[in-house]
Amino acid sequence: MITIGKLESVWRYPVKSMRGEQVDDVFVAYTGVMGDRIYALSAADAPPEFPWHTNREQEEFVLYRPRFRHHADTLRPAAMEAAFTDALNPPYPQAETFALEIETPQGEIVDVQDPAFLAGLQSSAAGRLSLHFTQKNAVDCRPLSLFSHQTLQQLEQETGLEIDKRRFRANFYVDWNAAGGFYENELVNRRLKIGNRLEIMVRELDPRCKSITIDPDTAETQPRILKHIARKHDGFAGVYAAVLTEGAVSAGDDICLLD
Amino acid sequence: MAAEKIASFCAILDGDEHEVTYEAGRTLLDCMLAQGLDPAFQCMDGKCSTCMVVRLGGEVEMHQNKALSQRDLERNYVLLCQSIPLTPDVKVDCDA
Repeated sequence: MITIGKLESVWRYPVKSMRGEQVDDVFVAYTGVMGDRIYALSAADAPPEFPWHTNREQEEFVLYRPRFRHHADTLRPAAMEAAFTDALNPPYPQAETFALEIETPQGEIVDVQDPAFLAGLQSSAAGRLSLHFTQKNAVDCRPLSLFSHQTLQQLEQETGLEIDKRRFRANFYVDWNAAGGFYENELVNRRLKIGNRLEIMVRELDPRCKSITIDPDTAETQPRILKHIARKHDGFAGVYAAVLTEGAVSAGDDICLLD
Repeated sequence: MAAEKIASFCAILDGDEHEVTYEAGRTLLDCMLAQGLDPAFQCMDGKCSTCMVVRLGGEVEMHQNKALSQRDLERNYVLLCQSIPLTPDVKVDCDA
């Protein structure tokens, strides 16, 4: 088992497409980081296979700041250690534990279930919006996404742009010990252990779309980054992973290559 | 004006202005690729937005748009992979 890097930070996005939050000592289930993308907005006129109304249609989504009312309870299942001791999967808390409030770009605090919140977003959406809740994580493809500091640095060098890593909306930002940009591409189909229990398998490269063109602080669009990735890196930046063994992780955890 | 009567359009790519021959019924992206240009693109289905460019002049029609927001459209972004020119004065900036 070789240590190849460290977990630089862990992120989850309570509402799909809205601002993420950096978390520590968080449980990672087979479905992904606990509390990640468990709320999403769906649009009545969207295709059934991708019903989500996202920052692609409404860039200012990234300016909404969701936060769990019971933050500490949304990081780890209460019985996690006991469940692990008995080789069981820890049960998640009840849905009420994931009660959420959102700070709007105007500074208002609203409950995610408040009809006024949905109505406010509806004003700039074509189809009727509805709120979707799932503990299963409304991720696009795979439960986890991973992006390295080295890839970010390489993209900055290649484009001459200062790029905020939050554009990539990864769950795990990592720092490789001795590898360069896009090293994570070489890890497809390899197993990694992070912290003392979590095991993941990197499954595929992450195909990028409009989401990364949106500045997380201003919601302004910069298509150059996406175009550069398309022309120089075949449209991929970062990787997706599946969870093989559940566990909790924190920033600073070692990342080890299992095979 | 019918698209068949349009002979070319203008595309700015990597700082250079190109006169691109237009072939009736094809998209701006198809025509640029046929001329050996390499604008950024991925899905060719109007979903990923990689080929979003700014329309500086003329009119185009998009087959479909699953990527651009209302704000993008108001800022004159169009998708190369979905756009058909409607007027002979179409000019797009692929560097924007």
